[in-house]
Amino acid sequence: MIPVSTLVAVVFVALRLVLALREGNGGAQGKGSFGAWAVFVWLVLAPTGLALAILSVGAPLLLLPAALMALVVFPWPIARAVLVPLGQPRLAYYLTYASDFVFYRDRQGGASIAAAWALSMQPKLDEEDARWLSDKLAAEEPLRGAGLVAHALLLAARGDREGARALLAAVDLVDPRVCPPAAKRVANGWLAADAAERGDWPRVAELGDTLSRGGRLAWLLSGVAQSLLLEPMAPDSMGLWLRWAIAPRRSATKPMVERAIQARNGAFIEPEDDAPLAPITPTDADDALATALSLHAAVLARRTEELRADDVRAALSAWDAALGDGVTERRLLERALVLGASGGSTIARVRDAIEGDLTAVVLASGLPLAQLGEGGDVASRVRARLRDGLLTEIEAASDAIRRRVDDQRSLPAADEWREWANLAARYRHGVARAGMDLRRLAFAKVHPDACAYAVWLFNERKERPLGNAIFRFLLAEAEAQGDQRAIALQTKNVACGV
Amino acid sequence: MSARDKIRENPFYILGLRPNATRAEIEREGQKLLGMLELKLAAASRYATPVGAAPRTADDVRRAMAELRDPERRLLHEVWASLPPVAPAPSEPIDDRPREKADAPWEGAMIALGWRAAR
Repeated sequence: MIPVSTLVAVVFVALRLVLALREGNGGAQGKGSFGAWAVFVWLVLAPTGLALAILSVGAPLLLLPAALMALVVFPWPIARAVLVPLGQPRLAYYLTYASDFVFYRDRQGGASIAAAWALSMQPKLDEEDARWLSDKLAAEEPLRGAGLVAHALLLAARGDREGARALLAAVDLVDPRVCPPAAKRVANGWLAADAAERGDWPRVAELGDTLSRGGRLAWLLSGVAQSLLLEPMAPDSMGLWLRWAIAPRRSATKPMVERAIQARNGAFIEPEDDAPLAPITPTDADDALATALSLHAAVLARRTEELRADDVRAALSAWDAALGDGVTERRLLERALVLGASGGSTIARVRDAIEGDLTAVVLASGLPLAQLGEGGDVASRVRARLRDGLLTEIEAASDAIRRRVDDQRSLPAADEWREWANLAARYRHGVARAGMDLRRLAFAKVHPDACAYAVWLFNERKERPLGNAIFRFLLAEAEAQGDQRAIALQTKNVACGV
Repeated sequence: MSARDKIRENPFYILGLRPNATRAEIEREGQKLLGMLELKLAAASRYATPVGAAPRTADDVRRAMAELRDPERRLLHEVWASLPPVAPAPSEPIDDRPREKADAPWEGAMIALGWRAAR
């Protein structure tokens, strides 16, 4: 006999506990780990379903209600394993909506993740389904973490992979109080697969650095990436197989695990085995211009991903020697006299072309500026050009945001996230490439613009999760630079909540 | 135009001439190449540069001749063309290990990992 009174008492106590936890966190929906529905499902429906399943040995008809209860108890795993691969967005949406346990902090967003993912799995995108989901997402205010992931997956389903990448990268900025961990894991899994497909293995290694942060798939791919990159902290063979054993899609990932183990055993040629840069054609050692041109051509001929700082430094110092010895200038002036041209402007144009070429190559290769070396006239001009270029990109993105705030021109919530993610990505990229100098200059510009933007989003647009994400970004930057006024301001802003 | 294309599209390389070529040589070589291209002769269809061989068209030849008629522009092209063009040397294998790098992109990862269907 089922002890009904005990069951009711347990449910009542559990509900009170959940409510107390929620109130303790400010009482806003989305701040606890799970809600009353999850407690009811796990304390009432799960045991009942289990009991029915056991009893169905003697009465097979009881299997039907037991199966229905399994749907309600495990909505997200079932949606993921069955409805998403079948490309059923609406069924996946409504089933996942019941997943209070996984998506309590953003249930509608969680349901939309399942639907958008199912859309990506359709052999041909059903536009009607896509519009239906788009309308659902447009109604979500404010946009929380899971909703953001759903927007990104919808963009990916429609073929805008760059847009999806930018939005998913922003998920990391969302406060955990309004972003279910499962949504972050979906985002990391997608980003890791995308980076692996592009060959960006350092990014793969970073995305799944821990199991809790990245989820099982991203954790496995991170281990594979570390091994392929021959990182000293890469997991050993046993560790890789362990990650593989617990990860989904084992048949697809097995060849990559084997490849990673081969790489660890030295089966592939390491990047360092590339031949060092040499002049592309044999040159007279005394002819500085010929040597510089030859090294310049060799730098341009090398694939950007294979370019090393040593290569660029060699070309830069060769140009310093060629343009600084006076011989090149004299040769050009003599030749200009023969042709009837003005040699002076040609020297300036050659300089400009050299600096432009090397700046473009270094920008494309991703080499940090510090690796270009300190000395040298040409090197310092190339560094200055690169710094200006990176700073201009950041300033342009920051200006665009500031102008919109001043004009009170709002965008849909997902586009606001995208715009902020774009600025934050440019900022990080610039800092990674150009270091502390650019960080100070860029922060002086970005701080007031982004702060005004976040205040507008927080107070007037009620997009509090995005406003909070921006405040936290600015606080972290202010702390990194020791800017006390900015720290005080952003600490106050972050404390306003989410 | 990328930095690499700038070297590849240098008029001297297109015409197969060295920077000290006279105006008459430039005109003569240009006309000869135009004739060969008109007859679709394979010998004129490609030219060598320091960053690899490139295809040659009649338009390229006409543009190259026009560029070199201007003394200012010619002087600039002379600087870049002072590097002799080379035919790409065949690379010899270092050892018998796979030439592919370990960290090559994983083609089809998104489909294999269940993030999208093949469309």
